[in-house]
Formats: sequence, C-alpha cells, structure tokens
Amino acid sequence: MKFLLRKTDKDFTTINIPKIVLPDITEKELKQYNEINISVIIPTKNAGKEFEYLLKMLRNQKGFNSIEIVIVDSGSTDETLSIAKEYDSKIINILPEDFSHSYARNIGAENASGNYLLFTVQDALPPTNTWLYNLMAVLKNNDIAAVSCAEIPREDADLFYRVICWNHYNFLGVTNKDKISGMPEIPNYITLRQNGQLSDIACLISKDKFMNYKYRNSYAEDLDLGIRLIKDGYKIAFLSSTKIIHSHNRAAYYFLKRGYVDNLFLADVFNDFPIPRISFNNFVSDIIFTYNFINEEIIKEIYKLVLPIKNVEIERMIEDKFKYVLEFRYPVNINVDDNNYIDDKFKIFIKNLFNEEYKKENKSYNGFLVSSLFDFLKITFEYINNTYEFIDEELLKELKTCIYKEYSMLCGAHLAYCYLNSSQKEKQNLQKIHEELKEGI
Amino acid sequence: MKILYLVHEFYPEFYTGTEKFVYNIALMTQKFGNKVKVITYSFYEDTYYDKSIGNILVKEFIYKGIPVLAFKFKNQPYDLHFGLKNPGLYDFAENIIKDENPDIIHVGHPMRVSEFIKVALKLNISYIITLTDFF
Repeated sequence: MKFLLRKTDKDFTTINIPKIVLPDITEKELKQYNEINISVIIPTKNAGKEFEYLLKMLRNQKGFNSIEIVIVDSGSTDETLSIAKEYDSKIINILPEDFSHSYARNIGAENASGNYLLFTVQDALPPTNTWLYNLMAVLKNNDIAAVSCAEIPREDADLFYRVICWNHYNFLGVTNKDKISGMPEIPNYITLRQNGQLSDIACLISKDKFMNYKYRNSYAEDLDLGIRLIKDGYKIAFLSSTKIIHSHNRAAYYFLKRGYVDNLFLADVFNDFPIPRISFNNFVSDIIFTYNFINEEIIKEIYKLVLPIKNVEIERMIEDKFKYVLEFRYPVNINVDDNNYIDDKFKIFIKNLFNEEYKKENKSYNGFLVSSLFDFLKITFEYINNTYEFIDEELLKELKTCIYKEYSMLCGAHLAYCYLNSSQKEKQNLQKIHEELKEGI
Repeated sequence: MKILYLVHEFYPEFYTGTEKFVYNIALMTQKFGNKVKVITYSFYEDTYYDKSIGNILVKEFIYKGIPVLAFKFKNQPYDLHFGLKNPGLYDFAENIIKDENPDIIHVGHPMRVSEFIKVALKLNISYIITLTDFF
C-alpha cells in the first residue's frame, strides 16, 4: 500500500509502506504478535461512567500476548477506580497537586511491564477490536519510532470542535491520508509541528524508546516528544486510515485559556515563532469592540434570517458586515448577561475587562481582532461548504456558538502575545490574567 | 465526498428502526465532514409537495440537519410496495442522481426506490445495501 505524503511538499518525507491494508484486517486474518506485551497508560481523574467502555474495548483488543492497563489517578472521587479494578488495571495514585500531563504519563510508563506502551486518554474509545493491531502493524512494518492516529468526533461533537479538528488535520497533511515524516529539510516552527506531531489521544511506542526520552513540559508533551524523535533522526507516523473516537464539547472560556496556553508553548519551544507586538490596553479595547460587534451586528442580523438558508447567503451577509467594520465606533456599553452562547466564566472575564481595563473612547474602530475573526470564519465556511448546502435552525445555533468560541480562542492567543512581548513592569500588571488563563489546561 | 441514502420511508412521517438507522448513519457521516442526502418515498397530502415532475411529486426539506428529498406518485401504481420496474420512476431517478452526483449510494431499504439502484448501476456509481426490516 502506498501512502502518499504530500508529494509536492519538499518538507515532507515520502515513504512506501509495505502492503498492509489496515482497515480490512479482520480478527480471523490477523497474525498474533506473541512477543508483544502492551501496557496502556491512562491518566485519570473522575473519568465518569463511560470510562468502562474504554477499558472494555482495550481488553477486547486482539493480536497480542498480553494487554496491561495502567491507570495513573490524580484524585478521582467518582467510580473511576472501582471500574479500573473491575477491569484488572494496575492503579497508581498521585496527588492532584503533583499532576502534570508529562509526570502522570512518565510514572505510568515507569510502572508498566509491557515492551510496548500505548498512551491514551480517559475519554477516548477505540472503534474496533483490531484498532490497536492496526497501529502496531504500522509500527512493526515500517522504520518508525512511534505512531499516532487521528480522532473521529463523538456523536455530540459541536461545529467548532469539528472545524478545528478538520483544520488541524489539513495543517498536518493527514486529511484522508496517512503520513510518515522525519526531520523537514527546512526546519521551522511550521514544518517541525507538521512533521513532529504525535497525539496522546493515541500514541504507540516501544517502552525502550520511550524511556530514553520520556515526556517533559507541562503542556504539549506529545508534540515535544515527536519533535525530539525526528530531530534525532527517527521517523514517526500519523494515521488517518485508523482513527480513535474522541471529542470534547467545551465552553468558550476553555478556548480562551487554550488559545493563551497554546501560544505561550509555541513561543517557548520555537525560537522562530513570530510574536506580534500588541499593547494590552489597545487589545482590551479590541476585545470589547469585537465582542460587541459580534453580539450587536452579526448575531442580531442572523436572527432576521428565514431558515433554512443557503450557506452562501449567510456567508455573504457576514462578509458584508465585516466589510463595513471601520464605520463602527467603540461601544459605551456591552450586553453580556443575555448572551446564551457563552458560559458564565467567559461572561465574567469579559465583564471584568470592560469594567476594570476598558477605556471608553468615542472613536472609530482601528483594531485587528475583527479581521482575525473574519479569517477564522472563512475556514469555518470552507468546512461548512464541504459538508452542507443549507443551514437550518440547529446548524445556525451551532454556528453562533462557534463564532464566540473562535473569538474567545483568538482573544486568548493575542493576550499571550501581549504578555510575551511586554516589559517586566507590564508583566506585573498582567500577572493576574496570566495566572488565570494558564491554570488548569 | 457525497453520499446518497435510499430508503422506502423516512422521518418525520415514519420513525421506526430502519428510518432511525438511516438517520443516525447519515448524521454521523455528515459529522465526519461529508455531504449527505436522504432520498425517500413518502405519503404526504399532495398539497405538501413543491414540485411535480410527470407523475411524481417532489418535496425537499431538512429533517434535524439532514437534507431529504421525498417523492410520491400522483397516481399510485398497484405494485408500489413490491414492484421493481417503473419507467417513469427510472427517468426521474436518473435526473436526480445525475443532479446530485454522489460518490456512493447507501441503500437502507430498496422498497419503492429500486429504480435508483438501477440508475446507479448504469452510471457506474458504487452502492451498498444494508439489509433491514422484514419485507
């Protein structure tokens, strides 16, 4: 089977993978890997009732000598540990305050008895009994150090999550194709991310290899591991032909923090990551203006639409609104309480900025956040146009929530730039926001 | 990718197992980023339909996110529930499938929609059938 790896892109390595038609492998056809003992490492905290489905599917995986499940729990108070015991898991307890994504997984690996490690998460779900075998077949049949796979969203995944997943896989070059990649010819913050991406939703690696590297950092430890591996000359794989079920429906406030932390990480890891110089005071005005623009101009206009409506018509309406943004002035008041598309924590964040930091000035808009949001919306409509012909009431509701989540993610990203490019004195003023946004991600 | 689903009857008019199966698989296929449409026979009052093509009435609508094309004969043939041949329906089906241009067709139930399968064969469009129901 030939896996096409963006043949036109010089930054990618193209490799022919031996004939392993992965999706067609049935339980009867698979060859037993008698020499392989798998340890599945899962950090947990209040994993919920559905955790059982994951353990059941892991126990049902075929083709290996043994499968050990190692739970690293950081203070569950629900039924997580009793479910784990029921499925004969090895349980390692760590203190909640000691938890980091790297520490929990490293402890799990140190206590694992298998010769291969599968890292996954408490809310993922392998779709078949041969899912792990498919990952192993790629690892064993190719000269690679580790393999990860893409996610397929759960039934309740919202539009925003599907858009960012789709966009991320387009960025990685794994939309509907598998990829094996090594060190790019021109290493930079883009090509290293594209070629070095592993995912802790599902990452299979030999224990020997992993213990030479281990995870490090408190965030994006999977990308960091992938980059270290390719920098050392190894190749890694990211599969689209094999996927794992996983998605989150998180509120706008989470994506504010996520945008913030993501960009702190990128700036920390990549010396060439461009950090725009943004004044915090100006950006607060931009946050408030853009919030009000979405709320009063976009969402109110959307309410007037007769549904169902063709995608292009709503896209055009939004485009027209954005075209005339410079004619609008900074608001004197904003309506946050009546907004049904954002969560209470995000409402409080916006209200605090408005009350404590926003300087009311009667002048025309001169910011950039609206333009960034417009670019994000273009990606959203690209996804929508690939999938839908009409927008009905349900999809429109999702679109409205999606616009606010995109806005919150952009706010987080640009607040990170404000912090990163500020002086020590300015950093002191931003410390409260900095601590709030980087906590708990 | 675009996937057409063929089924003998569908929501909101009918809502038992086969309809539920077709709805669920269409919805998830759509959530994976594919265009989908359900083509179904229907029994609404004639006034419900928007278009009339020969002996066939047509209504397009969206049911809980899923685009649906529902059709109905103005004069119902005696063999509606078991007949496999209807030249008028074949011509209609050919126009619809050429217009929709699907990459693949998934048949949830072939009753009343079998002429669409013949068109798929003629146009060399792959189709799969999931066996459902007891007819």
